Amino acid sequence: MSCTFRDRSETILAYVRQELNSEAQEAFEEHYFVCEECASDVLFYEKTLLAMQGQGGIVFARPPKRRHEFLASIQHLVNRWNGKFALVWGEGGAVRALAGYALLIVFLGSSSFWLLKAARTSSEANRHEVDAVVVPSLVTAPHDAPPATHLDWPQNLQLTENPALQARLEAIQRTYQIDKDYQTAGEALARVISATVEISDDLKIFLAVCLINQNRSAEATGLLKTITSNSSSSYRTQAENLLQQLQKK
Amino acid sequence: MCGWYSEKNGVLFRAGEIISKTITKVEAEWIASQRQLVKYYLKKKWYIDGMDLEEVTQETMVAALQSFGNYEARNNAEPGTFLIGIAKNVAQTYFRKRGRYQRRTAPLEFADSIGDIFHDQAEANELGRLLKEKLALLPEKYVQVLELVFYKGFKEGEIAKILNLPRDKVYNYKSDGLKRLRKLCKKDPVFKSLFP
Repeated sequence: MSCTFRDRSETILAYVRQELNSEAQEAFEEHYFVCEECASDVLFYEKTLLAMQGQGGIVFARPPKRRHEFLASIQHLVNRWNGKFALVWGEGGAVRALAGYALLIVFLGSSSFWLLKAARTSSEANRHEVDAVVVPSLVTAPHDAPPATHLDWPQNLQLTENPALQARLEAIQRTYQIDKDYQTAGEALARVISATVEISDDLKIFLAVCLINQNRSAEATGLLKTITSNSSSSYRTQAENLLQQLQKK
Repeated sequence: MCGWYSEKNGVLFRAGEIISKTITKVEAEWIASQRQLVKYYLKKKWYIDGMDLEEVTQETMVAALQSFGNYEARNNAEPGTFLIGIAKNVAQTYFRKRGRYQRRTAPLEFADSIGDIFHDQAEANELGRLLKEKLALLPEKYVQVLELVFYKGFKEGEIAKILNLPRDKVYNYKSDGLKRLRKLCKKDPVFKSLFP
């Protein structure tokens, strides 16, 4: 690293977060205008922190635990167990140890097969139940995903004249509609709803969907009841359908 | 980059008008390459937005081109110091004309950065997705702390209580997490298009 500015990283971070006093701020500004490395880092941290703040739903979305990770963790456990086993069996020779491993693998394989089969049967049964109560405007996620209740967020839903707020809503819409990350979308919606009273009614229905998908039925029910009690709400019918669905569950 | 000026026999023109007789093309190109940084500085420090920001940035660039040769000859100063001085002067003139004076005291807001720091929402989305990929390579604790600080807006003390960690550990996770993230991004050529 060629730049030798004192406490470089801390200063950049403090500058971006507006935490430097005015003298330190000016000194650093004069520096980064002559230091390409610092200028590049300042822009990187500024954009990164802004993206984390505004696009946190995307940036921090956790991927679902993948199958190979699960298998790897099982393998790890088996290896550990085999290690201990091998110590006990070590004196008896390799053949016995191998026979033991083979038995273990057959046991694990057959039990995981039966477990998976049982899980598939029960999820299919659940899906049939949910399909039976779904209304036309509500779509239930098919196949492997856990049954998710989803209400389409209309494209180009213009709720506000404020471009910044509209941009925020579009980002939430993508998190909700495309990523189907109901937890993040729900948190972001709750923040927007608490900050902007005038558009909150049209957003509450999507927050309710997010809550249902997080198994927070009680909160969702309360929210849906406020929508159904409001005669001017454009999502009254959908809210009633969702309420019925929740009650049947 | 410098499509709006031309040079003939060491004389720099803009739309037929002489800008500077002493500045070289290399120097002019250097000034033009600093445009994004000047714009960022004006936005970050002086609270100038939208069309006004474009206007003040443009005025700064032209003023810098016009006076660069003289300034260097008199003071033998670093070109960056000269450029920031010009930007400061232009910003102060802008405020004097409008009878107000405003300096930013709080960090930039995401919604406020679209169009100025980010070209548009799509660029921000793209960066978000790239950062997600890189964060997946960091240990979970780092990601947790970064999420709590920069997305959820918690203070370090609060995070220390939530995660049951000492406060200095939280600070280290935050600081090291960002440094590691920067290192990972520097290695990836895709990021060069976002941070030219």
